[in-house]
Amino acid sequence: MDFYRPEDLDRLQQKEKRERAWVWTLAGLTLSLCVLFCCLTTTANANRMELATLITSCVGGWLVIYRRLFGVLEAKHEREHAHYLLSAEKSTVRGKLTVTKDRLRIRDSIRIRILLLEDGKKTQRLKVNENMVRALRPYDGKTVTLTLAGGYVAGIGGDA
Amino acid sequence: MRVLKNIWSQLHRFVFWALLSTILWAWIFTLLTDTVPEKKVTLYVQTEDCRSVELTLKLEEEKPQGIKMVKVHPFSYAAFGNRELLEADLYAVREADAAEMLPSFAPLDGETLDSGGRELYVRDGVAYGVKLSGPGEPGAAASFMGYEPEESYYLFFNAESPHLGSGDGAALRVAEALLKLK
Repeated sequence: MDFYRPEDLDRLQQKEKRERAWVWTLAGLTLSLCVLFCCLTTTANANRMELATLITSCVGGWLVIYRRLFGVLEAKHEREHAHYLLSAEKSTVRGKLTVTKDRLRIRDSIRIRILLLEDGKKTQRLKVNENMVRALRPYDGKTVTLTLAGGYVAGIGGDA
Repeated sequence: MRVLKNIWSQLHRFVFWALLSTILWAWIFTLLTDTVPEKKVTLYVQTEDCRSVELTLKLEEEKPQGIKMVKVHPFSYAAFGNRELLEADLYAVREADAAEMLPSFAPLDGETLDSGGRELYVRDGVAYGVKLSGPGEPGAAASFMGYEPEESYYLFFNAESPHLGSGDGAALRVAEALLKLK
């Protein structure tokens, strides 16, 4: 079973577009609200309106930052990662699989899980996208054949 | 949980934005809601308990012609930059602090100010200010200004103000309105 298929690239590109649209919508809404508060300011409500403007810009900005970092960039990096794995040369390894709890992030966004593969002579540390761990769970502790691409696990074809 | 972890991992960006947006929007807000010095009269008050919004509304009821807004701020408002303080038109200052600020104040000679018979602040035979409040006296606009009871306060005019007699006289009219308030 391959973890990455060419049609995944389209899906990830669509996701990236959706996330970008969210970011622009949030930014536009925040800016419009801030300008609206400025326009509605009178002598009597100036302090309240200034406070409302500052809170809106701060919270709106936080939402924009969050969606940009964990929406747009994550989707973009996922797409680039998938593209890299699809175009990389593939090889296979065989051994007893252990799914560890060790995690790391690459490019500040893609979550990676560390796997151990023992072939009787040595133990290899392999990396796999966290999203694919669910597919590997049934094979934890069993002997499997893994497909590697660019240093990452890109598929499994093992004897359960 | 994952959201909190994500935020924690990028906390520096969120804190930086909070600081940047506060400074930026405070500046933009002032830029969009303020007007040029020629169309406003600004009063700085050397008390901390001044009800500046209520006082502003009261003074704006008798806004002189050509003036779009009256602004009232405590001195602490200028804590991050004194440009606006130096460009103000009127200052309500404690008598004890008035002497060191005197070079910035305009003499009242030749100004058509109706002080309502209030005591003047005179130095070397020149009148500079009008008494607002003193110990045991019911001060002008006392319900708004928050005077300290044991101190005397005077109202002074910025020598650089465009709203004195040689200009449109709006600072004098606002001062008269202030002196009439209870």
